Amino acid sequence: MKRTVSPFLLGFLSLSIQLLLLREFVPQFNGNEVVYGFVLGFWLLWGSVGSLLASKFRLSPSTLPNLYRITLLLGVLGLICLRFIRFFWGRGFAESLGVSAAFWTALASTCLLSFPFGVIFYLNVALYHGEIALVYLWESFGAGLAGLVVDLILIPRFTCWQAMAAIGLVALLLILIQFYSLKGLIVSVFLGLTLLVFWHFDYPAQEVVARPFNLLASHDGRFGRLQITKIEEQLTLYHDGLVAASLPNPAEAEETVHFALMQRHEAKKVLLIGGGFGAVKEILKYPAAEVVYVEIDPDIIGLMRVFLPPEERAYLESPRVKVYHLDGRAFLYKMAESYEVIILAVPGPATAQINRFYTREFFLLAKKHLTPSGVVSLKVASAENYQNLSLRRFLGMVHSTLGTAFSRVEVIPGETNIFLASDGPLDISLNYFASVLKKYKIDTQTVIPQVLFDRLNPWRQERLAKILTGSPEVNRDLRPRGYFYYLSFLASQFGLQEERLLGFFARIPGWFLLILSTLILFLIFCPFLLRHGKKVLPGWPLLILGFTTMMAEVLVLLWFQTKFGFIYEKIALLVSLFMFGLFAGARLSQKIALPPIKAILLDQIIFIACLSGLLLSLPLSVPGFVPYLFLFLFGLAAGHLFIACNSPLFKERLGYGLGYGLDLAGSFLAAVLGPVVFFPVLGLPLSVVSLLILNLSGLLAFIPRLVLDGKGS
Amino acid sequence: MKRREFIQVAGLGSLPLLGCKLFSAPLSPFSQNQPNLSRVEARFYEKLPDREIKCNLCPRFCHLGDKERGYCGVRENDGGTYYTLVYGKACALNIDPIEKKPFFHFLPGTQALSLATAGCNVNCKFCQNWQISQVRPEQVEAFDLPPELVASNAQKYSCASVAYTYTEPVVFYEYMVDASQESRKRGVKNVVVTGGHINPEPLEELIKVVDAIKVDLKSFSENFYKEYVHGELKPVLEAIKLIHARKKWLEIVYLVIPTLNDDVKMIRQMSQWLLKEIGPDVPLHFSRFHPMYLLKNLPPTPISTLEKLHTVAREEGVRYVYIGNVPGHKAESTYCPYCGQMVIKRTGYLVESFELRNGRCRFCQSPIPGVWG
Repeated sequence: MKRTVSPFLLGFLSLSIQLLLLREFVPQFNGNEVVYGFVLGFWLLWGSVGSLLASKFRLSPSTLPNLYRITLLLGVLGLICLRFIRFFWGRGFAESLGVSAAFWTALASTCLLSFPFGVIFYLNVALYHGEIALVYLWESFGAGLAGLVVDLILIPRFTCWQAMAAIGLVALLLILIQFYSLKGLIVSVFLGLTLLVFWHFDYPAQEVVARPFNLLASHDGRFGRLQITKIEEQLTLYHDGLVAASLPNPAEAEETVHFALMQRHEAKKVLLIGGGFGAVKEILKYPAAEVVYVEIDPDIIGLMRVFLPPEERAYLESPRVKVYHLDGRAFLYKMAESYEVIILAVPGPATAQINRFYTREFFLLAKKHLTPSGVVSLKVASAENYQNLSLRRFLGMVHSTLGTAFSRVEVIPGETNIFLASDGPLDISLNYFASVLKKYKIDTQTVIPQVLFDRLNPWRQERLAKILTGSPEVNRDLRPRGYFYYLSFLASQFGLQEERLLGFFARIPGWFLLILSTLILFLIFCPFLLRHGKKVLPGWPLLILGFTTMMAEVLVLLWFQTKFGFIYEKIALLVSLFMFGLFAGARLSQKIALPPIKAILLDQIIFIACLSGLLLSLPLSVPGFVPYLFLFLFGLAAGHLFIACNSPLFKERLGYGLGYGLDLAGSFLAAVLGPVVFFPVLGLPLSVVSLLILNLSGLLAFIPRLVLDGKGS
Repeated sequence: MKRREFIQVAGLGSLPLLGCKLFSAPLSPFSQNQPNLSRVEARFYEKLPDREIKCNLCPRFCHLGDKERGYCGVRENDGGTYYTLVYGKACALNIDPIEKKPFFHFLPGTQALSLATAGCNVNCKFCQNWQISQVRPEQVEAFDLPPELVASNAQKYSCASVAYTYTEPVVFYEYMVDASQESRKRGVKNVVVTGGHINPEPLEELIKVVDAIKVDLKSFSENFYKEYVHGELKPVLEAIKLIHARKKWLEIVYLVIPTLNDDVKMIRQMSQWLLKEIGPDVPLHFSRFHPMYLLKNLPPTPISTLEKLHTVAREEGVRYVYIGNVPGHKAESTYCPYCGQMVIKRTGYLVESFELRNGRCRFCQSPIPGVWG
């Protein structure tokens, strides 16, 4: 039992700290796929470097208990630094930090936090005299359990810093169990007290960062960090550092609602997905309308309700309003009702997760829930006087995607563009809006003829129409280009380098991506090959393994969300199931001993079979258990392959950390390139095909050796 | 794909690992529009030895070597001669109500042909037009619109004025001056919407050919200018004084950004300064901020803050104080400072009633300063 504590702690601690780092990172850098890619990618990269360097310098396992404690302290320090990172970059609470700042911060913070875990992996293997299967087995189990504990127990109940303190206390206890000494006990008590102090300072630290705003409340919930600030009468809700609602702000709420509702002013059923506060009030101005308001995060309403003025609260409590706490897509899958108007008030598609609301499949799903002449409306960031290339591509794509689902699409120009789509009539003329406002006595402050005459100026409409029409691109679930273009637009705010980089990937042919990633993988492998010769060849499948499993994991998560919606608990379970798959695979390799070459071959075949199965399943309506099964199988094959590849490396005395380092290096590349480039540019099916080709190459490379071995025996 | 393109693509493809900032612009096959640059010699610069020049247009006084561009990105030294690259190269063109600029005392209820080229000589973190102001001219889609066409289009679309706006018109100075002269010939007036970062000599010349200037006073604090504008306050104040001294119609807009430039004490000082230097009759607009560009995560300005600042400026003696970007607010309208009657009723960008006769209040006959027709 005691033998398993240290590797278990490694997995438990590393995944817990990684999850908490990401939780703290996102509010500071307004998380999107690029930011996630940086954090996850650099985390894996530094882990890899730590493992490889430790292998080179052959550190002593006696340093392990202290290294665990130092890692804990670094975890705390890392979270503190991230909380105050705005001061370092010279930016205020509400200022965007930008892509470059995210890049360098991710690089530095993951170095601080992940590098030691790479070293610890090596030391664990050294501690157990090369029993890598044992270490990998219990590391995987620890990581799987950490995923469940952090996602399902700590995050819903505690703040980020409190969760870190709780994990730290558990870790200190486990360190004592494995490596008891009196000196260690004293140090642990001191560290425990430090963690208890840390527990209490989350909110005060947030207050300092939020200055000069008056921070009324903060809540770290399942879907991110919610903060409420107030200046004068202006109440603002932040979700992961981005403004989710600011009240009063009639301009925002009115444009979200009225352009759509005026098309069907006698609507009885209106579905509002996200963005409810001001919008519900505006919808209720139409006497016949009943609102179904779908908001994924119950904490948003729960927290805001406390601070809302009574009259605003009354709108949410009106008998004409029904609130459901579900992912918008999951809601539409689940319910059968039809609506005259569906208003989509979700943020711009900066992540693949939000992009699910901008795809052809979603619009078709929405259409199923519309009456025959129903209207769907969505609002996206734009510009009044000039739209740059990135923005044009994004807007054009939204327009053409809507056009594949509806026969009519109209767009209101302005700082934000309101897209209206329907199979029935649409009228966005000034006269029409003016007559509806007058006839039905709809009381508005900014959607009024005195402002609309400028916004609907024919010059602006004509110019916008030119930009929007003719885009050949369609945003699809399985080829989610929308978030790629939106990210490119966001990047253009911070300088053109980042925009150009994304734009470059948008232009290149798909096959080039595969060659590029293979080339980078080969470049990573080259120094080892040059140094150790063919002895290091079993490391190549590990590199491909890291790349494949990371890509496949993220891809299945994304696929799951498009099929079944974003369901927090299920996503947490999916991630953990992969880890438990690794555990089972490693265990299997202990139980059934195969010659390494045969084992590698078998695992490659399993990988190819899984990828082929995934490829075939992607476009199908599959039962809910299928994505779980795939992730478990990927984990199983990966766990088994990891052990199979490591044993010949050990036999050749190439160092305990080499295999682990190569696995993480492959994962690093996948984390950076997968969600940001592969999925949107190639689409999910072609990404799987790329993985298949890559794995087939791995398989083909080993067949001659197998044949030779067979002849030899 | 040609061999050369392939080499570029392959070269670029390997760069992501090195970090975004290492990415080299000239190699990129992406987003560079075909250069559509003018080559008209710029004004207000000094030739220096070794083909260097010094730009005297704005307070940055860019000192440039051969082939270098100024901070604005639209003026280039080529072999010791300084060129403007955006002469006649408009990238945004609209017909806007003059109230949108905002000018409230200048030809109310008329339309302005509004145009801009790329570039700006400051870098405001809250810029509404960052997609054209913070880029080089090669990075926008511009079209040819020579000064004569500006003037004829204004006439064609019944615009009473041409507005040089959206980006900082100082950076396309030569184009603005020539277009203003052409417009004048056709009886069309010219208005400038500027941040006021311009040196006295070019400003003097500009004043001669335009009819009204709106200055965006972004704060009354040097620190704010340094941090959020990347500019200086002092030259802006000097420009305001000069415009007023030359009796050119002037309006001042102050965008109130919550927590950053909304300090009551500072606004009181600013109002006192305005009163002392340019008198009580220059309209002062307090505009509501909406989250924008790099300050997207700020809330909109609370209406009560705007009202508080409005009161402060009125208390200090500024006669025509407005609240902008709040359609329907009573402070959008003009009131006679003598009898208190509403003389111009505005809602949004629309003038709903106009109670001036020959520039005088219809109720008490007191003069209301402005350019009324």
